[in-house]
Amino acid sequence: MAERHHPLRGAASIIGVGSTDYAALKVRSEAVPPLDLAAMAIDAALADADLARADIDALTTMGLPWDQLAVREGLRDLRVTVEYAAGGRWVVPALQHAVQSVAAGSADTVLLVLALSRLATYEDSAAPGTNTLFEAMHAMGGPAAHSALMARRYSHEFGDCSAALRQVARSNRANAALNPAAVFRQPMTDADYDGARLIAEPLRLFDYCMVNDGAVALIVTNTPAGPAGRAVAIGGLAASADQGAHYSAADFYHRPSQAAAAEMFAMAGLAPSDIDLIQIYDNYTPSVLFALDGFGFTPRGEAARFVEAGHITRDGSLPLNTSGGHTSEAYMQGMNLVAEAVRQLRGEAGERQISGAQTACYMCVTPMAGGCVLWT
Amino acid sequence: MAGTARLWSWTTFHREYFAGYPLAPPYTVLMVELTEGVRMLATLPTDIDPACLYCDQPMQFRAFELEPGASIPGFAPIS
Repeated sequence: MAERHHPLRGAASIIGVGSTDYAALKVRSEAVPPLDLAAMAIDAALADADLARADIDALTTMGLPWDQLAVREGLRDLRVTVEYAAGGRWVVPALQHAVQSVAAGSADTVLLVLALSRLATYEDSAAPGTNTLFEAMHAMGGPAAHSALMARRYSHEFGDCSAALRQVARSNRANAALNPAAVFRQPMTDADYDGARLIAEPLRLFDYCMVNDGAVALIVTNTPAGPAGRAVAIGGLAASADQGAHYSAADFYHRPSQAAAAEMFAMAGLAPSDIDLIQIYDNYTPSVLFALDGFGFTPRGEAARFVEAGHITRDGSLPLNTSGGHTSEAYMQGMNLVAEAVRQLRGEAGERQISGAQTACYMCVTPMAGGCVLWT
Repeated sequence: MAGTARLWSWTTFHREYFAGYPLAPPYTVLMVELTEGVRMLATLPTDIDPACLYCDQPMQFRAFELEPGASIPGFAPIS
């Protein structure tokens, strides 16, 4: 049977990316208001796409009030507006909506913006999240604790994954060393990792994403006719939510990840073996293993061995989080990872450029999994 | 109910998450699967060293008195 061509395969493209200098913001003594951070990223994305504010006719915000941002930025006559919570799981739904909006003609040029500031009411990533009463009575501290439980179980079922987690943290740090905007760039040795304090054991400090100030903006439009130029097409994307037992399920990640991956790769007409580099939402390092297995980059249970073999380093067969990821570049909840994928595919990643990268995949695994395939 | 379970996984907290929680870190939270099939969180009684835990270990219900008059579900290894 001939392969069915998905009508939206490659139909929309990311034509502009902008982000703040996370390293510079980290050393500022005073926090920057989120709308100011958003403005920095928007300016950069518009300049990158060679567009003016008047060209934007749809606005999607993550962790920001869209109306305040629209007034502040002079964005008028918006045809589509959406406001998501900040969170890596919302990146793919936000992109889905943008793709559908431009494909349907509801909008021509969608601006997506995420900003996170210490002045906003967001939480320390190691602090309690949305806890149920049953979690609170045991002082079960947030989603990281469930990642810790799952990592230990993963080790039990598939073999010790502690060396792989260390490898992820060190590989991210080595990538960040080549990224002037990354927050944490100093080299990390095995001893540095092993010597860091335990938080939710078996997770250590360097298994956790950071908390930092910053913003990322993306501009999505219909894929331009003719040569791609600097446009990076959205080849396929899909999400799958399974909130039934949320994080307390025996396996909160694998089933939704597999469902999202099947639809994403079918839409793109590609397989994991066609992907040149990957960006994984590493809120905690075990998420990398869960995503590699869940999205089919490795057979089930082999992600840790794959990582230990060095495949995910910048010199490996499948470079991961090439700007430093959420543990070393910035925690912009997935958006900085998408921006990095675009920069790599354009060949604009500077010192950290992976030569010849033509396809990339962003993945986020939580009880709501999502992924997108980008290509040039 | 049998009051028995197997230990699915556990995590030991090394920092304080909730100000005023009666247990000071480190404390250990278990995810157990009851013999009846239900999964639940439980606290490891503080007289037990988490170093003795392993996945799928047989466990027995033992209420843990968090503070006077307030007990929460706990499980301990069946020795």
